[in-house]
Amino acid sequence: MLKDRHKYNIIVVEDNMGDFILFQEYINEKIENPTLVHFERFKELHEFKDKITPDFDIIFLDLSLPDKSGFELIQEVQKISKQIPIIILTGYNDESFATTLLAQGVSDYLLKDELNCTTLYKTIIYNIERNKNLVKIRESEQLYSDLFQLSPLPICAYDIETLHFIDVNEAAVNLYGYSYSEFLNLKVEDIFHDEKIAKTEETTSKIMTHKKKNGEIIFVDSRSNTIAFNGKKAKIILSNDITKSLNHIKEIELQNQKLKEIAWTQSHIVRAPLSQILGLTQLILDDKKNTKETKELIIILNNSAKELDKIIQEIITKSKEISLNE
Amino acid sequence: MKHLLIIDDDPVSVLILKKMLYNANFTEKPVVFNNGNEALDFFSKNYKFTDAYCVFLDINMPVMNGWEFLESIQTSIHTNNFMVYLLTSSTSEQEKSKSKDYQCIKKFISKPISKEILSEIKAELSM
Repeated sequence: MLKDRHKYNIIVVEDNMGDFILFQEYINEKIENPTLVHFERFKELHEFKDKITPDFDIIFLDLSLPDKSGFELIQEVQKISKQIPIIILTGYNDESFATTLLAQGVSDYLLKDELNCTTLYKTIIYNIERNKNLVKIRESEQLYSDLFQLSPLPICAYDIETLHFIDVNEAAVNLYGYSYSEFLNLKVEDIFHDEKIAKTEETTSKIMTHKKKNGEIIFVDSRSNTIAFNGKKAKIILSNDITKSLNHIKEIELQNQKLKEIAWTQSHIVRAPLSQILGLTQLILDDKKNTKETKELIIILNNSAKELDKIIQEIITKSKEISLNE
Repeated sequence: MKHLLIIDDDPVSVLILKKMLYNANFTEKPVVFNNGNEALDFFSKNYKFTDAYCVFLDINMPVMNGWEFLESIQTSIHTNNFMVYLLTSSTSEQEKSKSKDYQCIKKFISKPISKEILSEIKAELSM
């Protein structure tokens, strides 16, 4: 029969030399030259921890070692196992115990009494493949979690029934000033300012006013959506703080108003006395009794007034552009 | 009979207009009102369908401004014997276009009024 030629790297933690030799024989029967790294004590494995790399395919762990055993041993090994699948070797045959083992996060368990080359080989192949999928799922979960936690925009999730916050991201903590644990004791109304709280599942998108921990009121562009969160209906709100830009727009509007007032003053107030001057100089010019010198002076005065009128007209034209741009 | 009316709160503007009317040989003596309300009062007592009215109307006035005056008088006059020359120091385009909404407004004139426009008005009146 042909042996598997794939290069397997396997860690075996087993204190009973007899068991280990048997294990070696079974493995060699199916696999061509596997790399077996053998430890007899947990302490030895622990000293090796920096050399445990993802290059290792699988860890076999005897559950009763002289220096550590049982669940405590599993937990300690998991801390250093770098997500490499762990397979428990035990002489203890009990189904409920086996279930507990799997719940602890180990990949599989084998009864030493029932061990043979076929089951061992199958277990190795099966668990390596399964772990590849598990790693992918974990990565995908991590990605989702990162999207929420590391989003630069503040996101809060709250229970749609109780209105208690269930989760918030770091950006929300930074924006509102509440710590993560403080947030989990708050309800939605604690950050809403003068806003109605709808228990509906509709997706919303609107400008709202929210209240920070320090009492400051902020304007946010808020978008919400309903999601299932740990089996509960929850609403997720994304709040973009637009207070600064809104204030900026208000400031510009105020400036525009002032400019319009100036334009109105130019058009109505300043031009009124000027129109009088223009009318009066015209009347004096029409008077035949004027001396030649007076007439010359009045012409100059009239020209100056006309020039001023032209300037006012230019200001009015420019101010009209402001109104048009709105 | 023809009536010349000046509705303007600014005494200097009134003085200039009066002199110019005189220089342009308007024979009728203008009657002056300081705001729209006073003029409205005059019309309610003296308006005759058979007479002709030529009104030089300022826009910005206290108590009742030019536009308010036009709104109030519209129902009680005929447009064929009531001619308004809107006379204002403002050069606002907005007001100029608003003046087109009134049939009785013959012209929108930016102060000061010129001799040429006055002689045009005189010609229109004598028709």
